Amino acid sequence: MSRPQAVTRRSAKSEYIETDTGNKISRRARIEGKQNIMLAGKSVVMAGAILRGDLHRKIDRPAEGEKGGPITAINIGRASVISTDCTIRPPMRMSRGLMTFYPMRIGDNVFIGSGTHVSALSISSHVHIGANCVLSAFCIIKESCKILPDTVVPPHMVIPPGSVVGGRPARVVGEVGEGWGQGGGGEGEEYVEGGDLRALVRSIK
Amino acid sequence: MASRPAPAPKRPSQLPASKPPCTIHPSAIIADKAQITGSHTVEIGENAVIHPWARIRAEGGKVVIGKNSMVYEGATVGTVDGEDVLIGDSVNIETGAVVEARSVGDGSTVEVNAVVGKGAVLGKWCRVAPLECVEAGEQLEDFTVVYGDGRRRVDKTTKEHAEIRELKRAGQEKAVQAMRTLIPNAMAKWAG
Repeated sequence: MSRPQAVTRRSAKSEYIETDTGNKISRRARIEGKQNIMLAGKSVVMAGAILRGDLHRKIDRPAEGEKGGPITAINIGRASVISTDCTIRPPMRMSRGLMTFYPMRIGDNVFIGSGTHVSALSISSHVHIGANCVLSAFCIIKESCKILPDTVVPPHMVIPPGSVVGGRPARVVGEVGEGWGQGGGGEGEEYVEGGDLRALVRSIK
Repeated sequence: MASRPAPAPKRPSQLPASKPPCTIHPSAIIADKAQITGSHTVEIGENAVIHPWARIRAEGGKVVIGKNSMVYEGATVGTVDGEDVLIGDSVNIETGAVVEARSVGDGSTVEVNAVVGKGAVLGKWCRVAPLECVEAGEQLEDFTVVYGDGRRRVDKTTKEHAEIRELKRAGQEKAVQAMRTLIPNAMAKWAG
């Protein structure tokens, strides 16, 4: 008797694993500590991206009642896109005599270009980060910013909302206009920086 | 070994490359997903931490990693066709950095995505800023900082104040302690 064929698969294994909240995670993404990573929904993690959820704050009190559950190391909002070969690593610093990692928060509709290293403390919503940038530890990026490619943001820098930032070390080189982010988001339309990324997420297969 | 099927080309991180002869100090932490390849010896010192997806290529020559040093994810240490690479104590090789230097002095930091060419010699307490390049064969004196667009300067603060060096060294030890609690050790996989 010939062995029945393996369950008929669709043509090839798809690149992305899709969760029930609509997140698309590439099979080639490198995720450590996935139980400490929260993806809000409809976000994309592309191939080669490294997410260090294993670097989190350690709490000493085990059964105090308050924080018994998992600690989130990385919080990513809705419709955010993490492109290929990025590294997302929570920042670390000395606090009360011990080196601790701080939880990192990434907002909604954030586009992180390929090859970028992100160690920021928080990135607010509607931010567009170019390719090959370096966001060093504890920098804070406020809403609606645009970070040009190849920028190096030094540690602890706070980038005010609505700025265009570039260079090494990063300097504010301009402001995004008032129409930043408008005009995109519809089906089949061109992707607009800072705009609604849901259409982009939907088109990624 | 004869019955093992050919490794699937699509998953490079699981390619069974040749495991080099390693001398690993028992207190070193090597993540499970770290990649150590090559045929020359790899020596990993006391309390060193090798993060997941760090790559140590001992193909061109041996690789020595000093104590309390950390090689972060995505970093590549070692040459394919060059010489040995000696990393000193308390050295941080950050994410994505490519280090093919002949030696990196104690206390130095090679930051994110920097490239240090073959045969370069970095002094002690040097710092290579993110995305910077140190050319092949270049020699950096102690306390040199390589920053923005290829400029070099001397880090006077660290040079003149010994207590800053002490603090940095203590800070590095604390960082290594923190990593020890967070990264499960898969040293047995690589131990010689």
